[in-house]
Amino acid sequence: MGFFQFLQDRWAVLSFLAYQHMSVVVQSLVIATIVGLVVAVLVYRSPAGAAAGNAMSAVGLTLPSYALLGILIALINSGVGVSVIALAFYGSLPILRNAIVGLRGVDSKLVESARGMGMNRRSILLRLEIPLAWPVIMTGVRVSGQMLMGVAAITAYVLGPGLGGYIFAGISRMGGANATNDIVAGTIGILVLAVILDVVLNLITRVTTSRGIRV
Amino acid sequence: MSDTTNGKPASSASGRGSGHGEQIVLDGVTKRYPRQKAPAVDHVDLTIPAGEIVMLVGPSGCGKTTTMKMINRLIEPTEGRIFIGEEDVTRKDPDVLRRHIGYVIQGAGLFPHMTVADNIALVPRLLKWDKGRTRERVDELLELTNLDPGQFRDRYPRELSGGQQQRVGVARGLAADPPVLLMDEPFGAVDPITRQRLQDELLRLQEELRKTIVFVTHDFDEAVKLGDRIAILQVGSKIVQYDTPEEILAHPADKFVEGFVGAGAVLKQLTLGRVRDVELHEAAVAHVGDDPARAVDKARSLGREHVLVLDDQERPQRWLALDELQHSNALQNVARNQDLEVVSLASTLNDALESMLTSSHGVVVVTGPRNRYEGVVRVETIMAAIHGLRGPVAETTSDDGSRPASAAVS
Repeated sequence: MGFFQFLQDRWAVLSFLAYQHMSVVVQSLVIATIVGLVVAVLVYRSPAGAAAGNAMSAVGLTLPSYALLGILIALINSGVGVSVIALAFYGSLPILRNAIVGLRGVDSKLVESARGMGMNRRSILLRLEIPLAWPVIMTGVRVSGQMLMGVAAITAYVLGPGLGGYIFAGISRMGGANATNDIVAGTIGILVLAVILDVVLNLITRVTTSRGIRV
Repeated sequence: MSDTTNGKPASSASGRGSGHGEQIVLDGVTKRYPRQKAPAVDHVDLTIPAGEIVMLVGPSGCGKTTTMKMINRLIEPTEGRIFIGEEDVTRKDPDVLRRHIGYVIQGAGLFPHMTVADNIALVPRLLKWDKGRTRERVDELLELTNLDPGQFRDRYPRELSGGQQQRVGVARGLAADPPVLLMDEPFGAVDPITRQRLQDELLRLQEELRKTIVFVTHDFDEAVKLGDRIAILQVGSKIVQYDTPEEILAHPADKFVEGFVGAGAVLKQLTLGRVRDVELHEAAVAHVGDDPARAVDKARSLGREHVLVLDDQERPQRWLALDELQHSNALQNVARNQDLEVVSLASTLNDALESMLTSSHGVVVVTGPRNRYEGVVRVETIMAAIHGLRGPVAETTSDDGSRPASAAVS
């Protein structure tokens, strides 16, 4: 069977799996963003905390996702829960690192002039530091989104939803009918989703960044 | 927290910039940093009279900025008390305190992600002013600092020049009409011509507002020009001399002050002469929309070759030569000449002379409050004034030697 014939035949299943793939990535990304930001806000002001945050981000990203999944499966019943936890963990790391860099990069003169006007810690964070660090934070979110698209394919191994299942099914039946088509369809599908997600995140970044600091 | 909502005294309720300054007293103020033997600021006693500009001048690292930042407690004093008016500010909630002290820093420190209007409105919003009042105040402050509200309100800081940013910085410091303004080398980062204009504007503003201003600078000439009083500081914020510029120039307390004043002390006294102290002349003026023929007649009757065009708010726009006024609609649309040399009543005679030299006119336009036209100064007037200044200055030097030149320092 040709590839296009194959796509036509399996369109309903493929599009449903693509939807699931996107859905699990976006949901994990939202959780990852919140976790990354909260941790960054807790540590960015102390040099030691920031260094620890950066180190954790660097070490965490070197953990092979397979190894992490193994540990998680041992702890939790396999399924979507494990996928989301693993994705959110990985996803939060680039966001954490960028948020720390962004928040620490705010000009100390601006922070001092904010204090000099009587702004307290909380309003300095919400009205000065986060808005100024926002483009850097969103860059982290975009990097994270790209990475999660790939990792989500691997978490399909633990029965998480998405196009990964298709790729793995193809690999396990290598040489069989439509095995190559399965792998190619899954891979191209993930690529297309990754591009769509990046375009959307880019748009969100533009809309949510003040015109005064937009590049 | 009623204090935050009521804001300051009744005067600020109108939002009309009528709240005058209050006296500041530093009483034995000391700052020690851990692991440092010598205190950064050592028992400073200083009384800053209400409504005056006091300049803190000294070499870098002398503690002048530290001293200033203890007034709004960006740096907490280790010892001593600071009073603003009757109130001991070392016992007040620092955030509430700071909302009632204007703070202007070098490079303005504007928030780049906020518009000019939002930057100026920061403190009024912290004080929970209602929207209408805040908006009115923003426009009023933009007018006051010579920025057209329609043009600048919605711009972002990066769309402004350095001088314009600094103006917005001053407007922001004045937003909630605080009695006290702290300025930390505010004009240090702009070019000399812009700096001179900003200095003139500050003096013009101060004539209207009468705030108590503490101004940190390392530039002695700036101190002489702006200060009602100058405190010259040595390491440890030790006050070597605290006096009027005239007195410091005439009677430097010791070698250190002499070194700071520099060799040109006699010439610097000339910068003490102000445009307001000399006689102004009338230029031939016309308003936008006037009949050019009448303007020409008027100029001829005064014997002038040029006519100064003013807008409907009496602000000078540009000079026009008589032959440029031949057309009957020559005064319909007169664009403002951005390079028009203007000095204020508070400008020094040196500034006025310099403006004449740059514009190569024999006269320079003088403006008063809100940039309104006041008259012109002629080069002859300045030369005469300079002659006059030399005499009296020399006299005060000789007959006043007994005056204690140094302020009390522990």
